Amino acid sequence: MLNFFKIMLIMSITAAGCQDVQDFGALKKVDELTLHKLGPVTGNDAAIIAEREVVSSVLLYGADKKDLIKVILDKSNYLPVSRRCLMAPAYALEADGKVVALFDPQFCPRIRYMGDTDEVEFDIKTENSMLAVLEKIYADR
Amino acid sequence: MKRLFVVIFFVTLCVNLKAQSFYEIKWKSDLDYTALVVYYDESQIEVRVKYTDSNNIYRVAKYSCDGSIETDDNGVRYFVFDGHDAEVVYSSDNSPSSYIADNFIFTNLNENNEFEYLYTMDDSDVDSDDSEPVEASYRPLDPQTDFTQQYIFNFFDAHEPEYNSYLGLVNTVEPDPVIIEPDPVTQPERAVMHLVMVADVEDRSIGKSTAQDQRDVTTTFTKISRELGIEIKEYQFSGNGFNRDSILTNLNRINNSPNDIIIYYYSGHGYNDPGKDSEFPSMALDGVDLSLEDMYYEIRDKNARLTMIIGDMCNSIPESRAAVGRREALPFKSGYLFDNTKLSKLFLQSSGFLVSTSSQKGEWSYCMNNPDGTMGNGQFTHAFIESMIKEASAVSASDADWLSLFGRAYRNANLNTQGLVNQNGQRGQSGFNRSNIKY
Repeated sequence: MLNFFKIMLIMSITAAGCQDVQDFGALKKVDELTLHKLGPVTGNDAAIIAEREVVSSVLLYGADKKDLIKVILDKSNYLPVSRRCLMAPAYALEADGKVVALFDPQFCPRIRYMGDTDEVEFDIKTENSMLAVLEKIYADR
Repeated sequence: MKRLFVVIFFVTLCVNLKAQSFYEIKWKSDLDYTALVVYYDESQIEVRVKYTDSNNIYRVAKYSCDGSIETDDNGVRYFVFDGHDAEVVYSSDNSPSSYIADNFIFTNLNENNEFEYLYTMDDSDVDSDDSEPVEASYRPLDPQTDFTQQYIFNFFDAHEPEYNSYLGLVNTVEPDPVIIEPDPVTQPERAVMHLVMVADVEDRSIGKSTAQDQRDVTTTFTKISRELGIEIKEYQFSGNGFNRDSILTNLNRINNSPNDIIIYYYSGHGYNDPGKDSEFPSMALDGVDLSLEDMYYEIRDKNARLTMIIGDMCNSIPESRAAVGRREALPFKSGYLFDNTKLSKLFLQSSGFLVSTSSQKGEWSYCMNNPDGTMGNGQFTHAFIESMIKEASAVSASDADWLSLFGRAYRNANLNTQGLVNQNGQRGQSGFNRSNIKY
């Protein structure tokens, strides 16, 4: 029923004017990519990222690195922020020594990407392709 | 109707329609059409169209519309009134006739938050290439100044219930404020409405949405108190006051009478605390959190006549078993056309408690996103305000019942979030309440 509307709307396109996953594109050029798993602070001497304790760290290379970057850049995994939950980051992504992304793909699914000059946030869809890749990364270890 | 009508205009109120719920749309193809649109909420938009056909027969058609936001293949969003179930309800010569429902599409939101284009077409023209744009005009309607007996009669017959309802909205003199005299036996003191509004307006993710809730909820209850002629006392908690100690300390200072109304409204992050075994969520405040259920016990002890605790927040299961620590947004809205008798039943003749939250245990709640990408109200808060307006409306056939009001709000919030798979695998968010209100 709305097919004709879609044709008409091509005639009246406006710029989206909103940030999108192209901001994550710099990940493709990264040399060293580390995935940190995060958890609640327990008071141990572990490193802290975003008020969360680093539980484990994995230096990614080869297929794991390529697969994770691919799902992070896949905009079909994202929606505009709308969930009224507080994200407790489950993962941090460190690129060439700098934390560039915090995300939780499961409990309050959201990603916060920290670019050079700006931050963007998206909700991650409940059914997303990240979980499978993360599971594979940790299954290999 | 067999052609595409393109109505090009600047709609100044499409996204700022907080004071009106009647609109007039005009377009012209082979005939001149004028539509009276009555907007209740996205699920109830009623349209009457008048026209004189090529045989000079005057006709009126009616149909319903569903409002929705759609996205085209390029990711551009537009707002649609999708018409259906049309029928001709009046013909000046009593001859039978048919009508195909129109659809209205608002698009091209500009930097002033105005839709620049409005398209209208009926269902039979959707797949047709035989169309051309036509200029037309549009205006919102204020019943008090735009409705006359003749204007209403143009669309409704005198025996139809809407005729008298809308005629009743015509006012040439500002009415005196309604003062409800208390019954000296059962209601020794005039009721005061205490509104405790708690909103996480500084949150980086949803702060704009909760700020919108804070404004709109406060406005709604302020208007209701004015209609009823009762005092309202506001207690706002946001920014530096968005913490447990500040809220509880100030709650304890509320010196209410047994005839008063206390409404506690929370808009912000929430979660279901695994350590609490409650179906209700906890509010993610700065510092120590507080559950909605505990807030109920705090306010219950104040023994007001009517107490409501309402949360628009997630009720999802967080990752860790400990409480989550922390640092310390249909562009259209209905207008306020209240019926004082209905408001009186809801707020002055009712007593008891109601605790409501916007999603089941294991579910997230969602904010609305406006067509221009900005955040709007929480889905539940928007649905709640729309439902309140409808339940107390002078032009709706409602019974002024709290459970009906909340039930409609939950249904509409659920419908508006059906496209989202929730944490529990269900589609949409499903609010609920526990209540013992009686009248």
